[in-house]
Amino acid sequence: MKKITLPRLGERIAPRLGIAHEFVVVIIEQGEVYQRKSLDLSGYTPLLKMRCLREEGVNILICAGIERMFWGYLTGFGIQVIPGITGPIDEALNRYLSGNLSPGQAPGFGPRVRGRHGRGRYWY
Amino acid sequence: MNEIDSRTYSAILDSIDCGVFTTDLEYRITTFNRAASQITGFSPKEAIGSFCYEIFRTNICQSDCALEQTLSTGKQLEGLTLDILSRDGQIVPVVVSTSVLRDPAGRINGGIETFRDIRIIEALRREVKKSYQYEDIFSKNHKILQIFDILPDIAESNANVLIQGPSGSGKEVFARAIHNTGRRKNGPFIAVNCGALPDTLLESELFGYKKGAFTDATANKPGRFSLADSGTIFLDEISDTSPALQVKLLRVIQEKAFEPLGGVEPVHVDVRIIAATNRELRALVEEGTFREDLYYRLNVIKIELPPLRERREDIPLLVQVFIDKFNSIMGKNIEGMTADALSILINHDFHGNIRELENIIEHAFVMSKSRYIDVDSLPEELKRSASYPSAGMDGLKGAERAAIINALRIFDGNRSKAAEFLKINRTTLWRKMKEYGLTGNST
Repeated sequence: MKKITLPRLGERIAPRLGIAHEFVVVIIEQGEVYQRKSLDLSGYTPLLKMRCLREEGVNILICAGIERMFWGYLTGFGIQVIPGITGPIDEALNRYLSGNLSPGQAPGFGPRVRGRHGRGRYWY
Repeated sequence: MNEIDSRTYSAILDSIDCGVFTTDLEYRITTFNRAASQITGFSPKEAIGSFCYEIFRTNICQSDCALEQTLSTGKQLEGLTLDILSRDGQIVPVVVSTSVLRDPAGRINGGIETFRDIRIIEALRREVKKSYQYEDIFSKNHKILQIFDILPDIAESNANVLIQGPSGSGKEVFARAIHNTGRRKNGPFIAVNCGALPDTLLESELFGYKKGAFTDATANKPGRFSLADSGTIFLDEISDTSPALQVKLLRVIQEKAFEPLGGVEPVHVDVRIIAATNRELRALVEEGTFREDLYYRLNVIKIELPPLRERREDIPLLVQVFIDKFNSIMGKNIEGMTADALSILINHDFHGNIRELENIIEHAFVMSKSRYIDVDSLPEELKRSASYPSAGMDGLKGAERAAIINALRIFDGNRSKAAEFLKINRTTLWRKMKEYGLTGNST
């Protein structure tokens, strides 16, 4: 069983972990989504949010931008962090389940776009 | 825009040392200059076409987007102090301005955001702040700065200290600073409020008791003096102790030993005593309510703290310190206080001193809905008591006189600084002071 969390802003991954208010927590069993819930952490300090994620028993965090200190904090507790992922939450989850989601190079690794003015597709 | 225009336009943008990007109405980035790339760490190729909030990533992008406000109202926003998350995970402080882009027909067709990296300014600000800071104490007041100069020596010595100052003036903060920077910093710091407990309870609290000393003493209990061994004990409101307890305290200081209640064997301790009082201890000695020998034992080094109304120049600094503190506790992002609200605080007499100021800021944090604490967020009684001394003058002249009095009070009568604060010429200030009869000692 894996427990994945993604910071959420509407239907997309929230751009910055420390100030995200809501998190989607997904339990994966045998390669499929077994359970999905929302975690409302609005009003919490950034560090308290990270502690809540740890206490929630999350194994994997998929996020866009992540502050260096939280990268160190979460990975220090054995949580696998996949940073630099932008776009819709469901798309990121599907890519993760099909093994096509590779992490960015460093905390804060951003999106890469093909073409101009949003005509291209996101590369994960 | 033809190709040459586009190249010229890019060259102009790239020559500016301010970060600039433009977006369409869907918040997708359409241009991204060289400085923007340097500050954020994203290349123009990565940024163009992305949503601005996924590249710029400020602390307000997810709640209070500045560009969204500008696009919906058409109004320009200037000088917002924010922070962004750079590509490599660094938090970068920036000053941001936003405005709209219009097509030839005057319709809004996008937004423009300019920003400056203020890391150097912030670093300098922190350095300046450091010179007004000793541990958790912040002040620009000359009396406190003089105390700052001697605090390291006080901390390094092992002498007992007496801190005298009104309630809420920060006596315990000073005691902790002395402990934290002294030789005993790795030992415990134990604080006891001698005025909060009845005498018999205070004695057992300070010295502990042995099993069977009294009906409920079912086990040995160490006192605060034992717990503070090799550290510091802070005895607040020392003037409230009874003569009997004063004798026991004197013995601890002289012999570094005491007997717990019901005990016969003395307990030896190595404790530094920092005592504090909000009363004039010398006067109590003369009255005969405080032992003279204990007074001299405690008063090896004396620190006298002024009330907050005598260090009004510290109010803006302390307001910012408490704003930073409550931002981190409450997870809010309040940047400061409006000039009107600050003016009310500067004119307030603060009988509860710094503790009262802290409570006011905490109240304002709960009430405030914007990034700056305004008058509406202040407690009602403070707003009611906020009266400007108009000395019989109404209207504009009364307000002007009050503003001059306030400025002179803030800067201890220094006319140059008051004039600078009021944004008027020094000569104009002098002329107005004469006009309003403020040239004597009326301020």
